[in-house]
Amino acid sequence: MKASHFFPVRFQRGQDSQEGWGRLLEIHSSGAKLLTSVPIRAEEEIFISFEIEDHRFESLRSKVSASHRDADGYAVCELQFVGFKERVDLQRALTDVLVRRSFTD
Amino acid sequence: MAALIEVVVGDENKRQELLRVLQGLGYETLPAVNLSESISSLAQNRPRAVLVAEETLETPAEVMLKEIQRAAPLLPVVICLGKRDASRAVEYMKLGAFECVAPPWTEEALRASLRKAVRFDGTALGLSPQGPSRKAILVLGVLIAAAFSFGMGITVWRWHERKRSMEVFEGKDRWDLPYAHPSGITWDGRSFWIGDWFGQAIYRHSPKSFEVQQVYRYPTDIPVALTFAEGTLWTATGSGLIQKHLNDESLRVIGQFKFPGVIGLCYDGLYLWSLNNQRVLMQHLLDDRLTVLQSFYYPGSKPVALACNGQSLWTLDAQGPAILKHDLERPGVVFNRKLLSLYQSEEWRPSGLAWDGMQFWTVAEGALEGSKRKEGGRAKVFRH
Repeated sequence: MKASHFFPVRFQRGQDSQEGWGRLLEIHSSGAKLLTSVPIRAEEEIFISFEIEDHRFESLRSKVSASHRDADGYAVCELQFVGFKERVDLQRALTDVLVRRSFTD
Repeated sequence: MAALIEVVVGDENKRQELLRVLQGLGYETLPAVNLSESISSLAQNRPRAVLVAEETLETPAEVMLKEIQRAAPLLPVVICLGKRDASRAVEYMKLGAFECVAPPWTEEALRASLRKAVRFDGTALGLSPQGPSRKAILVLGVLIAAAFSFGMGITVWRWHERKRSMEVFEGKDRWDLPYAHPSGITWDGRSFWIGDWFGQAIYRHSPKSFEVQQVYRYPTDIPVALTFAEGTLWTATGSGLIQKHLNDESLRVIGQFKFPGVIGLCYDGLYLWSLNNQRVLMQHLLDDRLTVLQSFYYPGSKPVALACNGQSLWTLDAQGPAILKHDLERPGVVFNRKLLSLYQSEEWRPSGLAWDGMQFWTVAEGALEGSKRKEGGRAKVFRH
């Protein structure tokens, strides 16, 4: 199932660094694919915040498992969520959203 | 040929700076200093993207964004932020901005965003520089024939559906409701939704027989008005709230905004409109605060309900009773006033108005009391 738009996301590389933003191309309970104009390298750790319908996630610790530049110069990053609790919360939220969407579609 | 990009910047120095940067990146540029210049230029010049510099314009960037989307729905809009703010960037993207660029607005910062924005241009249907091959002409011919057949099919299907829907209602313009105090009505594309203030419930009805398909209890408040906006139900309540609901089994409330006295709600495809008992019409942005963009004085006498058909605002006024047609750009102006003859008997008191894409519908409470009340005085829904 696909959402009607790409979810916007903001992220931070560390406590003191400036925030960046981008969009989620994909999301599942253990990871996501991020598209951003900010150059991000593989093996970096970032903290991402986003909302999926009424579920809000703040500063999810994520490891960049792979990153490449697309034809326009954007970074396409494969993220893996590190925290077990966050993954469980996300699993619940995604289940809720998917069930509701299948109910309303 | 270089892509044309409209650059909307209020400040002269910043505009020149951005124009130089874009020209350095190889784009053709089209300067605009404000919203009206931008909108009129869009139709004439058809740029591939628009760059809006936040904090340099009198019009807020959110409104610029919405108005540009209204004039050119698929045109990518890139917002140049006044200062680096990821939360603000995400808010703009939620409102439909293609991308946000933080200062300084250098070639380096803008290159990737603009490149991505101008490539967002749909399917290319052009002839190759070497001239078309016979195969390409054949494919193009088949595509045009298919598109034509599809268009004809859609037209015939819509005509048939319209005819069929009219046949269903033939001779019938009113239905009894199984509750007594309807407070508002709206249409979601498939069903009618009617609020009942006394029973504190929202009912979903089938569009043909008006049988109740589902009942949603509303135990903590009184539904006064309702509408659908971007696929989501919005209600106004007796306690002075405008609420956003999830479309689940319980219509869970996911947003509440304090707007006392609202008696009518509608959505024009871009903005939410509310009408209150102080005779004020408000235009809201569908953001986290339901920001009021503009307010207008309602020119009628006793406002009861509000509806929108995408081109105009319509209000139901108890004086008459009548339906009033308002200019969407200047809702303080009434274009037309149509008396509703079926309410002249004073047997019913109208309380809600909806547009289903083809016709208006009103709901009404029975107005006769005690022994005078008869079968015809019960709550009803009327087709107009």
